[in-house]
Amino acid sequence: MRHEEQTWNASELIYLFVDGEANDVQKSTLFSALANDTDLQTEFADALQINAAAKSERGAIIPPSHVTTGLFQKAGISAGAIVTSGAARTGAVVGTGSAVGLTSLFRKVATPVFSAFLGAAIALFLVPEIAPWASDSGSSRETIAQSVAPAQPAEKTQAAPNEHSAPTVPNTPAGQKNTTSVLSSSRAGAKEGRNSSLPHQLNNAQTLTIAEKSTATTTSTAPTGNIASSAAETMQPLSAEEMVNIRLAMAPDGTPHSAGSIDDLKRQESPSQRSKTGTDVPPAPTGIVASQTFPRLSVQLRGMADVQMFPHRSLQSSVAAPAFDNIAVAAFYNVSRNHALGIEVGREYHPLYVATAPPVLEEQPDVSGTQPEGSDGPGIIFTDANNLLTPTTLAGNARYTMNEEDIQSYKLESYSKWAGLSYRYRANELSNVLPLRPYIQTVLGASNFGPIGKAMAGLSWQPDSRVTFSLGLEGTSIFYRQDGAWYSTRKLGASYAAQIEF
Amino acid sequence: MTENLSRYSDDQLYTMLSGDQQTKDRAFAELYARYSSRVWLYCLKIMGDQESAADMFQGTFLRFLQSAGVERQMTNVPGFLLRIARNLCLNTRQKMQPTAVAVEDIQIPVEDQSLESKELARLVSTALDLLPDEYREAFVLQVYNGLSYKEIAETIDHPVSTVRNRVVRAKKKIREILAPYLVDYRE
Repeated sequence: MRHEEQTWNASELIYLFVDGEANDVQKSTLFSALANDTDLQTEFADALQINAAAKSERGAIIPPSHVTTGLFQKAGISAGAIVTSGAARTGAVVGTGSAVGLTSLFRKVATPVFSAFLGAAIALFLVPEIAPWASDSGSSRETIAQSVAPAQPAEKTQAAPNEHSAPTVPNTPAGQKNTTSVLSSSRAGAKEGRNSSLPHQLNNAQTLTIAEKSTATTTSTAPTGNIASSAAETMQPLSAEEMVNIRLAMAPDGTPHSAGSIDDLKRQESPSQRSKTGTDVPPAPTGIVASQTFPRLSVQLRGMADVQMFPHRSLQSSVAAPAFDNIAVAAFYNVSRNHALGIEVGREYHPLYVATAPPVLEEQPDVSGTQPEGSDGPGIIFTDANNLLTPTTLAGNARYTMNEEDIQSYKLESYSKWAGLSYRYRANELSNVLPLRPYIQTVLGASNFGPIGKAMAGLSWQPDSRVTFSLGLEGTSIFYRQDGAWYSTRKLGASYAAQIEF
Repeated sequence: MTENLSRYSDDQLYTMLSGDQQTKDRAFAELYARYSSRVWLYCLKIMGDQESAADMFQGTFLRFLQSAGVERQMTNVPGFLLRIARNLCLNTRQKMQPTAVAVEDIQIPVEDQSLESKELARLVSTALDLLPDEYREAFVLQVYNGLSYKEIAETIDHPVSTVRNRVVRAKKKIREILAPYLVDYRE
């Protein structure tokens, strides 16, 4: 071949060598010349620098998003296809008005937002008492509490329009007196409950128990509202047996027993208990009250065992105590027994490569994942542009190998530190036999990489009124912006938590 | 569930461009994802400005898409794309008025006296504009597109020896242009 016969001077051989095109004879000639020629050494150094600097642009220049979208429009290709392709993804610049970029951002942010709305929707439909349209069902404790509480002082209820006289029970403390008088209004329901309609009976009882609470602090507020009037109209003294029926109809946490078990419960109550509480004046149904006095504050310590990361990356950390790789501390305010709002802080093992200098990437000729021919060292194979915080122009899903020298250009950021606002919904116990409460929890916040969203779902178990353990699944999405485009990585894991109520 | 096309070969994707609209969309997007960067870099470096490069770049992919309608065997998609881009770019440049500027008159912007790697890359790009077209093209294909001399020869349909000469001459020329700045960089 002609070029083999061509004579190259030492200076020209430098460039052949830098380009990897010099043969052994040419290399030998070059290095012999380099040994004694300082100018040649300088030129050699310059050639290396120019080559490296120019190559660094290989991965750093991508077609602008408007060029990409314009091309797809001209070609009659749907815009949706752009989003699914890697290079187009990297070219989608958010914040420049690019429809593609906005769509991409929306899709990524949609996951945590959708999770939050889904959680709220499930809460509304599964727990009818918090749904505004369900307030006429007569079963909402909170709704009734708001309407009735300021309207139930015993003195006022005695002056109800239909002139029913409130019961007066001798030798009864003031609180119990109020309780008794209030409970009397559930007489009709209680009587029905002996026969058939226990839920109705319980609704009345619950209503009036809330009224009892309010009378401890409110003594002069005039009754207002239909429910208050209705309660006052039905005021009639209850017999001791009716009181017992009502009390026994309630589980300790305020939930109703099954109708068939009431008689059994009555039989189980010992005579000593009856004598202690008084045959004629049973104590206030403490179970009902307890249900309304749930702890308002709670602290949760949560951990996460990694399952999978998307795009895939090894989640084996190098720290000595991987149990603390993913931890979060949350403080909740319990809006109700089922709903809580909180703030959370935490850190999470979420490895991301951060570019410290422009990388030089060499495309792998095939997509089999094997080491490309001629590359040095084992390298790191990235399977997706999202693996890098500076994805630059890695072409889509094609695989690339990063040479050892380029690895020096990247820093592995292992942990994300984050903080956010949290919402949690915990349903009631699945059953009395299986006191597990399903929960969902969402978090929206910020991390040192960018916005973060979390969604959790699982089961919680409360062995004690102040301690709760939870186990479930937890998903995390971290969003970050690089070179004008948004990217995300996601992680799925098993979530475990312990919570203390105050 | 949309099938992931990343495992399809270039040839298979090229064939899919003749399929129904949805298949065509996805195949084109995948090929675009693989090679848009390479083509864009070529167009940008050869044309020297974004506006012209964008026209050449879009024209390249449009012609590529049109070619899929014709029954033909495709064995080297990136090479084919570069050849289309090359024809478009060189034809356009030939029509443009040549602007002769003496090397001495060129003022290369230097924002920082201590040249960083990024700055040097910018300087190289600027110096590239001063090279004759054939040298520039050889340099772009070798350095920015990562092609070997042999691949460049196949792309531009010239002997390897010619390619070698052009690449070496281009690099020597760039070094000469950047010599005043490289002094700082060496320190």
